[in-house]
Amino acid sequence: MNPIVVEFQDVTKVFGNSKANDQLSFKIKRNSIHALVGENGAGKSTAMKILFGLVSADSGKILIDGKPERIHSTLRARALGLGMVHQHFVLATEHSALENVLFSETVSPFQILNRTQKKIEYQKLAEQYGFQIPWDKSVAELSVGEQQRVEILKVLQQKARLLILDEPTAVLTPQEVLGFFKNLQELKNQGCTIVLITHKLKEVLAICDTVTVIRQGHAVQTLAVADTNQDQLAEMMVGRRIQWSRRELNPGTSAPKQNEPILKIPAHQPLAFQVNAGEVVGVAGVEGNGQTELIEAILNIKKAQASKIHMGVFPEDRLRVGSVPKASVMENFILGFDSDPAFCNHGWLRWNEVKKSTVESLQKYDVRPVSPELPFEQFSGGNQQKIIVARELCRNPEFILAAQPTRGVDVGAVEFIHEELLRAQERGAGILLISFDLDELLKLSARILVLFNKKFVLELDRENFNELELGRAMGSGART
Amino acid sequence: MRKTFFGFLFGLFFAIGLTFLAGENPWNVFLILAHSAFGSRYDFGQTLFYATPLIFCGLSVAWAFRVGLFNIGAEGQLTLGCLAAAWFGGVPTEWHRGSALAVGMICPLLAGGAWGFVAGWMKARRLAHEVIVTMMLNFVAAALASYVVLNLIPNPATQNPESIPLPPQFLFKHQDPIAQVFPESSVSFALVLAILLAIGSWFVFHKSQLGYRIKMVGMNATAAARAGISVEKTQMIAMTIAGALAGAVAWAEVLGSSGQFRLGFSPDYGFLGIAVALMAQNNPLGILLSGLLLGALHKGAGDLDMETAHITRDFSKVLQAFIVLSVASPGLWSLLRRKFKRHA
Repeated sequence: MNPIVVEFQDVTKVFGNSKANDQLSFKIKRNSIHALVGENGAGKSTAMKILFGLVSADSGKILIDGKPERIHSTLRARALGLGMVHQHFVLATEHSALENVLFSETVSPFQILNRTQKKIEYQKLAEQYGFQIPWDKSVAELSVGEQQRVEILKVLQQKARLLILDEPTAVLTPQEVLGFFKNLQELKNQGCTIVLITHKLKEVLAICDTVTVIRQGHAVQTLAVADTNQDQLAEMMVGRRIQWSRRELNPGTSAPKQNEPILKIPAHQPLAFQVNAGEVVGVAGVEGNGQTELIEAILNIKKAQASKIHMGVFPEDRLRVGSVPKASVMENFILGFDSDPAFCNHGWLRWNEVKKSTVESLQKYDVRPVSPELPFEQFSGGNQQKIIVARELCRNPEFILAAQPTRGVDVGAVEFIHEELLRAQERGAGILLISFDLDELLKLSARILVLFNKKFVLELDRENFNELELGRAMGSGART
Repeated sequence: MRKTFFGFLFGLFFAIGLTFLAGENPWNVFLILAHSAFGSRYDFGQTLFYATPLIFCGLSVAWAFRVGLFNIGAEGQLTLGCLAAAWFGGVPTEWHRGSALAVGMICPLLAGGAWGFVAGWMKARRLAHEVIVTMMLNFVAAALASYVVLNLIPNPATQNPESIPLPPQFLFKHQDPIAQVFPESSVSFALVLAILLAIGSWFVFHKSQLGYRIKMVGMNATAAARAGISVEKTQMIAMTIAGALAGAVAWAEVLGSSGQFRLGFSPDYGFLGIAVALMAQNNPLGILLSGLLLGALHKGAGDLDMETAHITRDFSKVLQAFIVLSVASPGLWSLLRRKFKRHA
């Protein structure tokens, strides 16, 4: 048997003006866990979509088991033994886990599916890989980890031998990640090949055998995980040396003025909390456990007492609620500040001033390119976020709501945004940091609150931080 | 811009090509069209006469488009505006020239603006869909106009469905420089006002805080609301101004030309305004051009009726349809280009 299952040869895909894949070439070994790493927009998802027949390549070849294949549809991909689990699950939430797997059966429309028999079959398959799935519960009742296992089983049921997993750990708690890694190992032991799309280098080092680094649509290098380390991979991803913060971080412990609440939601309300001046308070929790409600509550405070405290808001979803993507950077830069007398004179905007001030900020925050008239959406994720950071921080707010401040942002920009937040904190601003990324919270917060089921269930001070305890609270709301 | 231009040519030639199927010589049809739209000073004057209301309505639709709303109601708004102007024919007062002009020019704006505001208010505050609301308000306006013209201020001198003519103090007529350039034709000073309003709209869109807010709300209402811009207020303001602009059609039709409300005077100016705005991609200066083009088509197609054997006045609708379709579908061009590339 050919030891190489999949080989990309000079695959190129152009979207509009940008090359998502530029002569991408790499090989995936049979029976291995292969990571594809790269920054957002580097082209890793596009490459996998091409492999799975969702997108057609403009040029180049894909070899499966050494034979060139034209994969023009997902049906063809499935026939070749490929399976893909998308980042956002494709499940019918009202239906049971069993029914969801049944949906993925490719049988004649006239064939009768015997549920009992199929359930036994699936159960056997699940046991084979060490999965536990509550078959009769509706998907909406399952935990995220269980939903993911249903997705994977859907793929396995189709006899897939090569599994493509797109950012599989993004929604899991630390405990679930550990369980998930065990599942992956088991799958590999049973002869499957796994392709993991991720940007978390820690996971690559923990579980993968080989790794391909993709930058600007091009494969920088494929190497054995044993021969590399986090710094080297990060450098390859970004294309330059990362300035890991050498500064001693002490978020909020630098004399937080304990009884000086900058922002407070009083105790009788469901989401009661308090942020003091010069303190970073982290909010951990799995997506959908009350983050939206928390943000709404804070925005209502902002609306109600607009003049009292000056608030900066990093929106949780910059393209949907934080910007006008098709408008220019200038226009986005004054979004929310268009009444500022520096920019507005009796109802007429002083575009020259706006432009000057935008250019200054773009330079100060190292946004590239410095083109104030370019549409916002044409900047990379990291640069978009930097523009928002610039907009919100350049007026020195006393309170900052940072919701997912580094979501979809490249490694270099993550460091930059963290630095800016800590600088604001040193200046005395109170910061509420809402994030799905536990590492980010552990790094920046003086305190961490855990959201579960729209309530705060746990509060830990920095000296008591414990990843497993936080994970348990995130996953089940349990306190101990 | 280039796509719009080619889209226009494509639609025009395709539609004219169709006349071949009706047994006409397309080239001949094109010549008649061109000649009847631009052939003489009178013809060009009539073209401009049709273009004026189209520019007003195009601006109206564009204002609504900018804030993200689809104003199907320009027709109703202009009906109300013309009604408000014609109403003074039934008011037996001695008018001074100045006050008559001022009242005659402002009332249509107020009436059209009010009609637009109703739609904007129902959209913003009651969450009614603006397309449904404006369309229904068109019917209300049409019925209201029939009632008022036939029952309250009918012209006693004729049997025609029209209102009492306005006293001459209201009309632009004798002091109208545009009318003097194009003697005999119906074009009036309203054309100059339309051009001024288009330029004014351009400045508001691009230079003012209001224009900025309208654009932000139109492109991403959620983000605008987060940034503290009142989406409801902005929508209501834009719809009110849109209504007032459509109401300004009264300047061209009533004050500048007929001096009365003739039922059925509008060849769907309000709906053609959508095409005008679409072709110009909501750019007020582009609307001047697209209004002129559609005005020329309307004038030209009217003469086709008389000068050819098989083509009726309705052909102008066919022409407009093809032009709007080919201009408004940018996807068409990328499709054609891809096909062309594949074969090349």
